[in-house]
Amino acid sequence: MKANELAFFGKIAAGVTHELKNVLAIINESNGLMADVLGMQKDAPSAYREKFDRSIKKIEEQVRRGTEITSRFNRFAHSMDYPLADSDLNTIVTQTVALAQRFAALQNVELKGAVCNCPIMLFINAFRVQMALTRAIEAFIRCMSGSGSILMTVREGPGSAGLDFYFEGESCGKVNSGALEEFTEWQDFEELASILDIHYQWLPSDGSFALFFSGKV
Amino acid sequence: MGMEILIVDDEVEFAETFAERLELRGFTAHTANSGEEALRIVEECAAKVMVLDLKMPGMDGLEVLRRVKKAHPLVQVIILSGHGSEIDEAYGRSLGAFAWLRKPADFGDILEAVKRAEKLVTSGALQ
Repeated sequence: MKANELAFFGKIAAGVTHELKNVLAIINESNGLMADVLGMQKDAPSAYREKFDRSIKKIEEQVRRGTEITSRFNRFAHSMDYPLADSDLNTIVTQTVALAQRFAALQNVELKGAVCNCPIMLFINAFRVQMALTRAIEAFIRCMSGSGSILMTVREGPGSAGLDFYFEGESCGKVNSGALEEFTEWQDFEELASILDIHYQWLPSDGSFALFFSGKV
Repeated sequence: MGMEILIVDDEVEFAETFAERLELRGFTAHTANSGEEALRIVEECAAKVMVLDLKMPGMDGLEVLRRVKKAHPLVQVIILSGHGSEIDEAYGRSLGAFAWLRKPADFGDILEAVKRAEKLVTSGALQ
């Protein structure tokens, strides 16, 4: 997709998520009003109070869940606004983990992220970085064939920034460069890494995979 | 009669339900569904706290905020919106927004901001 097409898609997607937030806000307040009214009648006997209370709680939880999902998708959509912009690597990784966790969970793989306390600013195309990371994660998941965990840890050094992938579980030994080559997801990752000037290497000492980002601000 | 609050949101269902919840807590809530209506009502009622959406057809929330703070500097404006970037927030705060909350917000958080705004207005610290 061209940059202006991506930006257009992002703008429409961001607009939709904003509208969804309005819908969630109305559900939230209507549910809250029901809780208020029930609370005012807490001493009046009602055979169905427990059912109402349970339903109100469930709606509350689902609104919270919906809000998290729409907020994440909204940030993802906004990552298409500009081809190049200052972006925090921590935010990119948090966002990628949140969005890819469902893909991993469906294959019984646990995906976790660990970020730095301080912002690590890169002048980079955040959308493409997220796509590269997600494609790599998808390839790792395919290698792991149904079990294990992946931990993504942001790393900061003087003048550099990086991201390490650690693999755990019985099938973690299956994740290696030879096995990955056959997956189109991995080929996509390699192509994007080349475009984005992201270097990578396998660390034989612990079998982890390290990414090195250029463009640190 | 409780303290008067003006809720400004083009989502009618949201404004009305939110107003009902505030009234259950003793506030007197007015609603407006556009920026233009908000500016008219703020002239007519004694609301000293306004809960304001950002994106509305016609005059947007930031313009309402600018005009309200110019004409009624004592009125405390709480922005509550599903829209709005960090740049919007910085601009809104520079215009004098009292608080900035994102929709859908926890009612307790909004109530807490309303009570803080009420306290500031009634304390006389702004006179």
